Amino acid sequence: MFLTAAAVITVVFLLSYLSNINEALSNSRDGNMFFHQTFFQLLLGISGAIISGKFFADQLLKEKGYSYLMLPSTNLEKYVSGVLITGIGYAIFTLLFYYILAKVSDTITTALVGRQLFEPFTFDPELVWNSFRVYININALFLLGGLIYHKNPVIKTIAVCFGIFVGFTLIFGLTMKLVFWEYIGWEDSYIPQPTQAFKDRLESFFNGDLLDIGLLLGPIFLWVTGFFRLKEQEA
Amino acid sequence: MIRIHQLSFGYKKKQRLFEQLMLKAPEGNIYGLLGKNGAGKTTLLKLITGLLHPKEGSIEVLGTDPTKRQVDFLQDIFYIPEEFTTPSLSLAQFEKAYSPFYPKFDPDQFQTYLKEFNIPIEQNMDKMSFGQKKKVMLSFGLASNSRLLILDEPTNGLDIPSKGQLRRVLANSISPERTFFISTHQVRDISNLIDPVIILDSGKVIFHETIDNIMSKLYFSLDSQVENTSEVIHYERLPGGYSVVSKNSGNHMGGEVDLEILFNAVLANSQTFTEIFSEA
Repeated sequence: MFLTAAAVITVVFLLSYLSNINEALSNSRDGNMFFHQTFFQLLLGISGAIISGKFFADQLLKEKGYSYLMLPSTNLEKYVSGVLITGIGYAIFTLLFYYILAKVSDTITTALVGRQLFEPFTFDPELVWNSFRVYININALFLLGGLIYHKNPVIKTIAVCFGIFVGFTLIFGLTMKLVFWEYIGWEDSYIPQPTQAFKDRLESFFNGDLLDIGLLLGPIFLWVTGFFRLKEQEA
Repeated sequence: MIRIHQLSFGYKKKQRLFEQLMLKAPEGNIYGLLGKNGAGKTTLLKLITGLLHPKEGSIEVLGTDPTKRQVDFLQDIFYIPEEFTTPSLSLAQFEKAYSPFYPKFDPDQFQTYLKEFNIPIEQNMDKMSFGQKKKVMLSFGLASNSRLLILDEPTNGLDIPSKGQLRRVLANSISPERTFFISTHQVRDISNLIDPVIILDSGKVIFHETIDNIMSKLYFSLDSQVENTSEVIHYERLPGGYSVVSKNSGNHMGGEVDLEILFNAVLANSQTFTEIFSEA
């Protein structure tokens, strides 16, 4: 699993690197300082979603499921091993692997072009913390998806999340329109001052506290749900 | 060992495969679970192993509820389904990876069984034929010394000599502490091995008797003609004569149970068999 992940990361890394070379050569280095940060987070999120989604789904596919479920270990051990391997384990693996790959490619490009194309990738604690925090949520979500959908778990999980998001937005939008519209006083483009302040507070709450709470409680809820799903799993 | 009480199960809500199924299977025997295709043999095995959960009723296996999948229970049960996949490992790697999960696993026994089944020890498992993989799993299951070994259609994929090897190995491995539960629709493959015989039909156990009991109540014969007497329960035409199942009124001692005709006879005359075997 990790070998496949490493191969995928390398290929994507190289392709993206190559496609960014022209831009990097023509622009100043400052313009590319976020390349590694963005790319690392994207890579961890996408490849991690695939790895997490497939972990239980592969184990529980028709002719394999019996051997996994009947392996003499507790349901908790099975679930925790999944979380550790695809969660923290995979995030650390990707971070180290990406770091090594970035160092190697920087060495090569310096030798060829005479200078580095991008800002070097460093273990910036904020970057690592934020990436891991978001990734743990992705991991918990797709682990649960893999326990529910054994065939095409990643696509189905994304589709369900999309469906829930659209449904929630519709309900929220309709509630606002039908119940609170007059109370809030939003009319066309005119926004009175008190409402603007309320809107700002709402925005900061959604972007700040609520996001932090969601990122903290989200994986706990999903892990617990996933554990009970594994416990009730049949083959 | 296995106690099933009023079990109801179905894959669909309104379509029950088992309704109020009852079964008691004490340890120390090689049970033969027979049934037509679709009778629910594999489903029953999965319910016993805890891979499926009953809708109603209860199952107790080795003193615990199998749906809880407790470690002690899983260490004492080994299930080989009809179709399975094996990891891409050498036999040594396979043994090293899986044997720590089974505390009673005996590596010497594993080697002995592999030798008995003529398995090339150095070969990687994904290069093996399905029959060879099945023999590896059987060897591992037997060497795990688990108290309950469950085999679903164990002779499928085995060649003729291997079927004989399987019967020999299983017969030699049974002990008073162990139980083998074999499900098959190929009754000839496991004749002379199973005792008691359990026949499943229409979601119920319609026959559950030991070989001794069967021999004392029934008589199996190959006759050139069938006498139309009340003793004859069932007969089938064979090349050159008839295979007949008759009531044993005490005149016939010894002989062999023809599992195939017994199976057909029970399915065709289940009520008659219930009456015969309920007699003291």
